[in-house]
Amino acid sequence: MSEIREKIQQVIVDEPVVLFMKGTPQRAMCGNSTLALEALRRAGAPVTAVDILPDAHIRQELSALSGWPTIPQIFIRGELIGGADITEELAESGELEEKLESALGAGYRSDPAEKTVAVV
Amino acid sequence: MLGAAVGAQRRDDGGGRLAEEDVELGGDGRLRHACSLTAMERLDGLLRQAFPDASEVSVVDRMGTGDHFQVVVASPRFDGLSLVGQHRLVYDALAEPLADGAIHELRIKTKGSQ
Repeated sequence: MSEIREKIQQVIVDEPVVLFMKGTPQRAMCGNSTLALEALRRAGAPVTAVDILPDAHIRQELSALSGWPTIPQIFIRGELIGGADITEELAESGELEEKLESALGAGYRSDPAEKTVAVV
Repeated sequence: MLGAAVGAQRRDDGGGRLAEEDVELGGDGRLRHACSLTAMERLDGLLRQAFPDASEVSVVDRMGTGDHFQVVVASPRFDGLSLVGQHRLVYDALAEPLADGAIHELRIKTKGSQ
């Protein structure tokens, strides 16, 4: 299981914005995951999505790392932002864009690439 | 005899309501409390226990399926904490139902003592 944990850690550190979700951006399998994805998209974030469904250990290792018990989980530059509710609240208040700007630079919107990465 | 009720207790849960519990003998020979509280009442109770000075606690069964919940908590315990910190306190309070699968999906709204 430490292999999964290492890969999770790597993604969180390497990728600017990470969304651990149920399903993929093309085929989301959970309401909260969709909410978080949409909020990030509206803010123009470059989302790296990780599907936690392929292996039960992904969620286990992730929660052990982050101390957060539910999915989705959103990280910006390695910092846990929270789940769907927090991401939405930040998006509404404009704080999400502020966080993205300060973490990724003012021009982050110019490259809103979206991709999916596997950890198993 | 499996599942035989060995007695009933009425317990004051501190909120002025009495919760009826059946104490029964489980299949493994150990005594279990078969709680007649609904999932919503259970979550409500846990939140009120964790946030005794809350000015607002509400639990809504969002989809009527008994496992997708929207909880709102307003409490001075949240003052000065980040949103992550505030939600973590709610997760701590609901650790049991989260662990035993009673909650499939949870939405949280926290407010401080404004």
